[in-house]
Amino acid sequence: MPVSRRTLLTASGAIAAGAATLTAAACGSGGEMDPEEPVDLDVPDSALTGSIGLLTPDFVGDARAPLDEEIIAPFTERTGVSVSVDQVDWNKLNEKISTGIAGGIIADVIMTGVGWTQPFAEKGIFAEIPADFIESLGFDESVLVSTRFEGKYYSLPQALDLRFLGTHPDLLAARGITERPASLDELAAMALELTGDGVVGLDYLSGSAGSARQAFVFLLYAFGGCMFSEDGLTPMLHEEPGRLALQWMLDRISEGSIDYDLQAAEGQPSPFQQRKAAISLVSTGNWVTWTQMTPELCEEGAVDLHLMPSGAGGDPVMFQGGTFLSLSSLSKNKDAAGAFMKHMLDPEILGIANAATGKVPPTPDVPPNEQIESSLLTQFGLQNLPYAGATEGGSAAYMEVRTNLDGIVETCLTGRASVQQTLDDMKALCDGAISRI
Amino acid sequence: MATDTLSPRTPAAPAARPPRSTSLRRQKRLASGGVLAVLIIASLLMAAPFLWMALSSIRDPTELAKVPMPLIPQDLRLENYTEALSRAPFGIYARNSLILATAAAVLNVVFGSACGYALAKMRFPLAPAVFGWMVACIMIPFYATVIPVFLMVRHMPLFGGNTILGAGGTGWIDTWWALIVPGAISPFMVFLFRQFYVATPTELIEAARLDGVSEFGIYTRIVTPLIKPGLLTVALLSFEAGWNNFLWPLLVTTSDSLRVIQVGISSFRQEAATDWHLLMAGTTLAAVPMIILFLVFQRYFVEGFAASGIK
Amino acid sequence: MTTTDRLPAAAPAGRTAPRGTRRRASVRTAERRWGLLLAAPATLHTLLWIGVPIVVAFVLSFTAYDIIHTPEFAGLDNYATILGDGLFWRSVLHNVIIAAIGIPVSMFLALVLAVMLNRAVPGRGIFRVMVFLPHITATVAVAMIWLWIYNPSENGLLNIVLGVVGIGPLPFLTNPDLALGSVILVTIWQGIGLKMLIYLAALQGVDGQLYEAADLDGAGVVQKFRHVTVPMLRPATFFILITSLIGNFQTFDLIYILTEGGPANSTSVVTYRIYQTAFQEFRVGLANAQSVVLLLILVVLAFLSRRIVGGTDGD
Repeated sequence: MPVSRRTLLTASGAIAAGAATLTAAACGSGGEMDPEEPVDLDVPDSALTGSIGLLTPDFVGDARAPLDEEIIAPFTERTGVSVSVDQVDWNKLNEKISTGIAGGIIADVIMTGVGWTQPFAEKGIFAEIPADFIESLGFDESVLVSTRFEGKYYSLPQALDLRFLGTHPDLLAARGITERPASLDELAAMALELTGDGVVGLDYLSGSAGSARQAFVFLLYAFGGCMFSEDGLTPMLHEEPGRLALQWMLDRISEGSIDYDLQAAEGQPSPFQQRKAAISLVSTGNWVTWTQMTPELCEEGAVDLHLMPSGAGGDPVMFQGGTFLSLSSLSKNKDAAGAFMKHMLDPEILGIANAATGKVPPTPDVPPNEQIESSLLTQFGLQNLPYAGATEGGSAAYMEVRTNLDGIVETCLTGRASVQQTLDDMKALCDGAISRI
Repeated sequence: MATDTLSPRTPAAPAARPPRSTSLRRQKRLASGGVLAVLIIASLLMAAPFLWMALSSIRDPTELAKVPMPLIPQDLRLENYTEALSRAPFGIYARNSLILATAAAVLNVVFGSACGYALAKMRFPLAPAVFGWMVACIMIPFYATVIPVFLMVRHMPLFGGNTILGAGGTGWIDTWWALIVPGAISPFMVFLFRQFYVATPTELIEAARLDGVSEFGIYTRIVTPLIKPGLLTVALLSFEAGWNNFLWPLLVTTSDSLRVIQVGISSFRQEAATDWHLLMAGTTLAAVPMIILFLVFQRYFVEGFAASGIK
Repeated sequence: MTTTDRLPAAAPAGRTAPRGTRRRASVRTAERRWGLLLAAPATLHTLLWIGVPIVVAFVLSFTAYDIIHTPEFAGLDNYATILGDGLFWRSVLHNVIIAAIGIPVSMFLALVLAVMLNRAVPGRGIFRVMVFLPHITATVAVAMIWLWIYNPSENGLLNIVLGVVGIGPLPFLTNPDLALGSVILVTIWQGIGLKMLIYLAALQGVDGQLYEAADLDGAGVVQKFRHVTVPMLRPATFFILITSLIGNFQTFDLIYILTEGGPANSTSVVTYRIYQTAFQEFRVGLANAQSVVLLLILVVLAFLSRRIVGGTDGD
């Protein structure tokens, strides 16, 4: 026996002591962030060293090679800074960041979505980005709204995902419809008119909607509402526009012009592509699948695109999702992280990146790029960028609200809760989350 | 209880079977034919999802989009596997899972058997308390403690840049320690081992003691060899648990080089998105090693279970 | 720790033993010492990695803690939140539904299969393997396979089968009326194997004379099953019930891959809810309180199932 009783005793004593310290440590684990250390974006390339980590939900599958070869490689070559990429799916991104924070390992450059900036800025995870740099980029105000928290910038748009409506002109013509809908009432009437013979009037909830939550948010803005007050401290989604948005969807479902069970199966063409839906919510990201599966839809005039008409007599709206770049305030190599962010926002790189992911650059000012120009969806989105006002989030409490909102909206749409109950639930959810900020 | 009236506690003896009439025999044969049919149908139903997985993994992707899709793939596309392998480092994932599962098997067998033996065959102070504690631990779901365990791992003193008080660094996060240590000994395996050892003859131990064999020697050289199927059962169960572990590796690893196969599959699902032929090829790669292992050892496994006295 | 503190006490006990029993006494001392030594690693490990976390979870359950800032004492706030948290209790209800349907069905099927496989059937090794396969396969892989089987298009296996009888295609996992049922089906399929194996092991311990006695009494197959097999298997049934209940309340991987708790929260289960609370909403204090409640539920269930089955623990 190589182990004597004494050593075992000592060892077990040590373990017991360790357990005690651990309990203490686990309870008092408040690693406070360092106070706002401003990011310096003007460090010369030659002064940059080391490596940084990039956390991204984009650049999936075939888009990964361009990220490594055409975006990161030139940066590494120029600065000597190596970039390791951690790719994680959108619906696992939040967990990835939270466990990263909890575990003390978090990427230097983090890519998140619309609505994420304020919560992580409030928690001190995202570092402030100098306003003069952002203003020098000349981006449209509509794409900067969701980058601010308490008047300061904490993220930058890198790619957009814009949503609007698409119609099959021939299906409309067959029913004698020639005008585009000027209001949500007209859209509803059109959808009903087009329903029948195995065709659903409006495919609003499957694939392109992203989620029930985002489908609701789009209509909320179309009815002139918004999710939160300017300071993000008062929920507004439960007010009249919210009621109208829910009721509008419920009415369509009961009329049969929206089918809740109409789901886009993964890897299959969407109901709209299969011509099982006459009108559909369309996302700029659909272009890639359209070119692959139903190239006939990609010809000029094959699909008629228009914005979501207003339900309140105002301007039509477009839904804006997107991918936003932020710097981690915990980064140990902030200079390099800042330089990489600048690199990502270089017009040429924006073009390459968005061509690879099939998304929309946050500005039309990118060098000519065949893939971006050939996408009619992207072109439509870019032309209407000022209308891209339907954005989710706007409160520091939004990360807590986000996924729960999905369940609440789905519960309403499947008739398991009344509209009033749903609005109450939404308000309670938001109030609770805001009270904990 | 009903059992008491029906079970005369007499040792089972090979009783002489009463002679059977031919009609009874025919009935018997008919019955076993029926049983066989039911078994075939049931096991096919149980195996159908795996067959579907295997079929889908060799399908041409264009077939998947066809409506209706032919049930049997038109041609064998083994390229799906090479493509899946090129899209994600399944080799590394499998290696990591193998290390994790092997460590779990070895640690559980070594420490679980030691504790199980002590609880079954030795009288020592606190034995009832230890046994009670183990049984209580079986009741505690890992998910109830996962957050504190995560915090403990993250604040492990003197590791990953942590101070003696466990602050400042990342502790065991994203290391092999975090993957292996917290789950190294499962109370369920201790309990199983106790069951195996209880069934071994105590007289053997008494005799060995009289012969002057040391207590440790009795445990390692005399009693433990008697429960080989039990050892194998625990090893296999622990290996399986290690190989199939998901939430914990998901939480504590961030780098690709430490990613285990189940987490790999779940992230491959995001990467390959709608390429079901690749996803099923990847899933097959993750499932097959356990299936082979079980096929090889299944006889001992069933024996081991029978010997555990869980009945 | 306490276990090791007692160790020195064992030695004097041996020394003061009466002369005649000296040898036996020293054997007793060695036995005590070695018993403690052999049991120590596993005991200490579980104390550290299960005992301490339970205490930590309990302590944290009285705090407001968001991972980033230092935990603040919050009294019973978290427990009050849980009492009023409809979604948490719905998740508990879903666990109960999954258990109430899934466990009895899979136990019954497992028992029937075990009884059949206990006979001298040709190829029973192969049958045993096929039934057991779902259990040894990782739940992640299992969930992936079923995700594909439940594919809502005409090309999902289940929709192909239903198509033959003219139903569907059905959106199994995206319709809130179907999703929970779809999850239960998978748990049944996955749960049969282990239960069958335990029953099989138990059946091998059933005294053959009982059946012969029943034969002499003229009992039929069903009667023998009811009056001999089922009562004799009561302890195994208890064991299976307990482990299945615990397992059921640990359902996570399946939900994480198949439905993420949706649609309309119709498949949210307790562990998934805890996970969401901690890692999506950053409410670690509340998540720990939920864990404590989960633990209490399990303890109650364990006592209840003991009542119902009236069995004994393993031995």
